Amino acid sequence: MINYLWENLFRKKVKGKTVDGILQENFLFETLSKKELRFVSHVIHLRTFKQGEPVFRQGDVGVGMYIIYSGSVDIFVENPTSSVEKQMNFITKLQESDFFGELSLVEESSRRTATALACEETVLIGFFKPDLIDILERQPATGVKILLRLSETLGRRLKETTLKVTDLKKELEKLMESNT
Amino acid sequence: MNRIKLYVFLSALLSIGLVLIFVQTVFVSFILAIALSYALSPTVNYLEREGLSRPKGTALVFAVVSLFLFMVGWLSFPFFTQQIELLPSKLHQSTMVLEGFISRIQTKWLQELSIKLIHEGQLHIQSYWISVPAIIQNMITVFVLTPFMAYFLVQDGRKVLHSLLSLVPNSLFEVTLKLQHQINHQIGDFVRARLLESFFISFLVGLGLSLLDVPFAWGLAVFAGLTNLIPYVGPIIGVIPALVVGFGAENPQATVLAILSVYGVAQLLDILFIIPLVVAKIVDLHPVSVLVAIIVGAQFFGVLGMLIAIPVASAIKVTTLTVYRHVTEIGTTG
Repeated sequence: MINYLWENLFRKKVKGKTVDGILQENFLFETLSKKELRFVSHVIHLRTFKQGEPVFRQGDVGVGMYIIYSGSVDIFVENPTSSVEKQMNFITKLQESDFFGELSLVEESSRRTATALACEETVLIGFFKPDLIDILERQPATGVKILLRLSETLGRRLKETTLKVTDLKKELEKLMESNT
Repeated sequence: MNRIKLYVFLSALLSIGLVLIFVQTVFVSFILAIALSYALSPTVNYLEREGLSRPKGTALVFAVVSLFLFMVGWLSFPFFTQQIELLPSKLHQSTMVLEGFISRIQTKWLQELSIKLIHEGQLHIQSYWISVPAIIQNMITVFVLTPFMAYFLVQDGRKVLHSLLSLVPNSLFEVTLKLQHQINHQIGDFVRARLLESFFISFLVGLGLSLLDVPFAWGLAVFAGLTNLIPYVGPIIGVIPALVVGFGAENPQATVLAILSVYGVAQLLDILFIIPLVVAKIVDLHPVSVLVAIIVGAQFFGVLGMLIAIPVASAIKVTTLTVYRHVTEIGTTG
């Protein structure tokens, strides 16, 4: 079920390899004009991670989201049942143009709910809450477009998760009925 | 790679810090430029929201401010020269009145103390007088450097910060970005609130002294506004020149009382309205910290050091508090 929170529901084929190209193909920035995209590309941060280097760890304070520019990222979640050693459960592998961590853009004192590790040398586009606030202060129209898409993303993830929870509940009820 | 990044980042910060500390005029100019950039950035941001590019918005704001200051200077120049010409005779008059007061003091030790204080004061003024050319030279450097630095801070400050942040290692990046944002926000609020308060005090004192027909009214008002930036002792320092001028008036006792009332009302309105509405949210420093900061500032950078001591001390306090809150937040919930 947790995959629905982490999998890229908005995956598309990447046309260009430039930062502007990746941003243009990304669901959050899709509605922006070229001028607005150029503005956003000056605000974002390009970060390079070595193979195996954590992008963030579960429980860390999260400040924003990442889009994969090149390389790939594995998502793990700590197994709560494993008491002796922290056991990590593999959730999904994210590839070029996928994005993750967007919940931190809207949450106050957000904590990361999973661990993200770079599978190979990976370049990520970091887009963080201070950057979003900066955009909202300087170009509110651009900021609102991003916020609308962000709300849509979070809404869609919530919808997918709710559907999955409903299915699971039904399955659980069936199992309980068959047992009695 | 990360370790190299960290070393480069720390070395860059250290180099900038060392240059600023060892070249005093550059340090003072830099601090004043930061204050100026915080004061003008909201207007540039507004113009940017209205569709003007950042360089054009910055140029426009600086052009309007420069034109305004030039006009004020141009219009007030004849008035100020006239007032400065009057200064020696007014000072002489004030000294005579003060000496008259002292001669009427009956207690011998109080009279001796007063004479000693006046003598000490004269010696201090003389020693300051000798260093006036050096002070003026430093002030000219500061007045040229400050707007120049502020211009580039407003226009390209974000780019410089962005480049500096790119040197931060991945493991510390998000935390650094968050802290930088919080600190920047709080210091911005602090600087803008104090400047507004200073402007308010200057205006009230200027208005009051003009109504009382006190000579050098607006010059004294600007001085009161500037010294008001120094908490606790600032308002007391601010009133001294006005009292000296007051002693030179035809009816010194009434004028001095009226001057004290003007300053008192200005301080009262500041306490009742400006501080609760504007300054209350900003960081308060303990009186002892204020005193230590002012002494350290004065020791290193003289009068300008006294003015910048509190903003610098507050910036240090805001930074420490934010880092502490962040660390304890991790400690309690992580």
